[in-house]
Amino acid sequence: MVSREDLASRQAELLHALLARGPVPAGFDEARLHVEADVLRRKRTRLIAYLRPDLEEALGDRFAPLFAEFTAGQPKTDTIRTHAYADEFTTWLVDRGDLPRPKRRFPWRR
Amino acid sequence: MNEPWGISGPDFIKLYIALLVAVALTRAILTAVARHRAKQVSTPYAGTPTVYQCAYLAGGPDRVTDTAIATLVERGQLRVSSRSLTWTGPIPADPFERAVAASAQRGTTTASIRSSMRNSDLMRAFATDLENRGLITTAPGVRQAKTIGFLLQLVVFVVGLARLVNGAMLGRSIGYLAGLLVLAGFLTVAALVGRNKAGRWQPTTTGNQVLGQARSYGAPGVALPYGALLAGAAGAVALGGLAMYPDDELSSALMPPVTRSSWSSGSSCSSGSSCGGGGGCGGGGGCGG
Amino acid sequence: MAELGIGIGWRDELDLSIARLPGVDWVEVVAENLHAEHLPETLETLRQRMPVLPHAVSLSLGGAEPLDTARVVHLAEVARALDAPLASDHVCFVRAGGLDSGHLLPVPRTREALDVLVANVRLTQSIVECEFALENIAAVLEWPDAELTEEQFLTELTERTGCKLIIDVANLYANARNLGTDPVKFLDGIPWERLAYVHMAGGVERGGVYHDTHAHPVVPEVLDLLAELRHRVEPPGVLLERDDDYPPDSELAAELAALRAAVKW
Repeated sequence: MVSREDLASRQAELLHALLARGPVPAGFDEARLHVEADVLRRKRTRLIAYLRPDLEEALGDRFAPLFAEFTAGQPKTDTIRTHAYADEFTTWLVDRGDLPRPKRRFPWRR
Repeated sequence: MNEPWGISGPDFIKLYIALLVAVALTRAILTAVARHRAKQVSTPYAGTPTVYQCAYLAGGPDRVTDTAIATLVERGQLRVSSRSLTWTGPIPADPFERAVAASAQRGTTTASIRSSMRNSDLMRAFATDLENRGLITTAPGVRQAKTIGFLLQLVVFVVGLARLVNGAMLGRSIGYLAGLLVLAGFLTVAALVGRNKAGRWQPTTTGNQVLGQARSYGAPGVALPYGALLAGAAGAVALGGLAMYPDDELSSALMPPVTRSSWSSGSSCSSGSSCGGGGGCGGGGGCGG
Repeated sequence: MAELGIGIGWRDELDLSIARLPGVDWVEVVAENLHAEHLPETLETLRQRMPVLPHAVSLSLGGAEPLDTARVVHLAEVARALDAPLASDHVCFVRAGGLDSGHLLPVPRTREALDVLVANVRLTQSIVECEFALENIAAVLEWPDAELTEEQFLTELTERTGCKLIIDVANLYANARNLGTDPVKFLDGIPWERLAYVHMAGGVERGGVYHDTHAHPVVPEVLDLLAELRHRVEPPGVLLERDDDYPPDSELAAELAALRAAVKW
């Protein structure tokens, strides 16, 4: 008999495998897992691109692969909103030098 | 007593005021003459204007953009929602329409489309063509006149300044002169700013005639060779702006808001696009965010 | 609940289009995209002349972690603001171990998982004041050791909670293509008296997998499945879901007409 907690940890294990390149949990078809992971990643990429067209424009073709790398190392937690996650992505890009540091804007120069 | 420059203080004040007035008059006359000259064009206009040419004459590059937008909306190729314009395809043939469609692949706004089209190569080439046809002019003569005006103003300012410095060194009272000098300085700066802004296009007399004829299309008894080109939403918007789009709800949605409201997409969850989801969030996937 | 008719998913980008589209009897709106205190004006106007039903995507009712009741309260408030007869979510989970999938994931078809789902649904029903329905999802991946078929799982769910069902025919088709399940057996095993309405959507085949994208036209095979469903029950409502790559209004109208034809209305 599997308890509710057991189910919770199995669900967590599955998410970890899908989002953060974690180990394939027992009983799952690995190929299918990769397909699902792709679906999840592409969906999230599209969503971030929709929320931040400026990032998509700045990175061009590199947007998707860079996001893939970022999200595998730093999958989205359930406590922050997608917009905040996009900000985390931006910070990651700036820290790596993939995006220039934003210039200081004077308040009257919008 | 030796007066500086051989002129007494009060006399100089009177002279300076007269000088300022003279320069003001000269500047006004020079600019007006240059403007008038600019509107005259030696090559008479022959031919049929396109709806975009009428649009430019009536409202510049933004009006051209608005006309292309109106055409696409009428044709159902550009969808208008309360907050955005989105292209629905297919790719139009006309270059202006194509440029609008390209900038509206994701949701965008009228203001944003106008902004991207305003200084585009396509628009610049179009304006140059209009100039070559004698319909508009960027009036280089006006800019020259304003440059001369600025220089005159500058000379007057410098003269006053020299007198002021001289007077101060000699321990004279310089109150009135200082006041006039502030005015002169202000006028000099204004002349410079005005000059830098000059060089914007304006319709020539011929251009205004063409536009006038286009506007009279539809009046009883007026038969125009190019009336057909001004039919539909495109014609209405070309001549009268987006407010004239023949559908009240859409025309309100098309006109950019008066106040600057920058709704960055996703910044608020109110309506449609995403507390978490953009494409695909409508039930196709949990958004969790 | 009264007869709904043919509906379309209300989207921000389509707000003016939907209001003037012929053949729209009702709309469904993603609850997470609304604030109960200030609904979009165009939606409020639409509500004056047709039902607007909220549909949630983030309750994670199949999740074994404690239910986030704040999200349920939000759904309840939206349903109240819309004066909706029914609210809904999916048989899925989206959160676990502090992570958020951003997409609806399947739950194991085991009694244990069903117990968790039933508990969460009952809690939800106690918060949401109107009827509540759950929708079947499309999955590419399956949990091992299934004890029940999907239709058995859904049937027991309705028996134990009294909830209604939204049957997504496109998802049914996707599972048939991707998991090899038998859609006709599924249709035979659903308690149709529990049906709230039907979802239809477009998708595309890519690399041997059928993707339920909601960004393409409805494929003929899915329309055929809808006709197959129609042999068993006259659905109270059929809803077209389109989330991306919106076609011109004429094409949307045509899609709605195709749905109407498939259910013979």
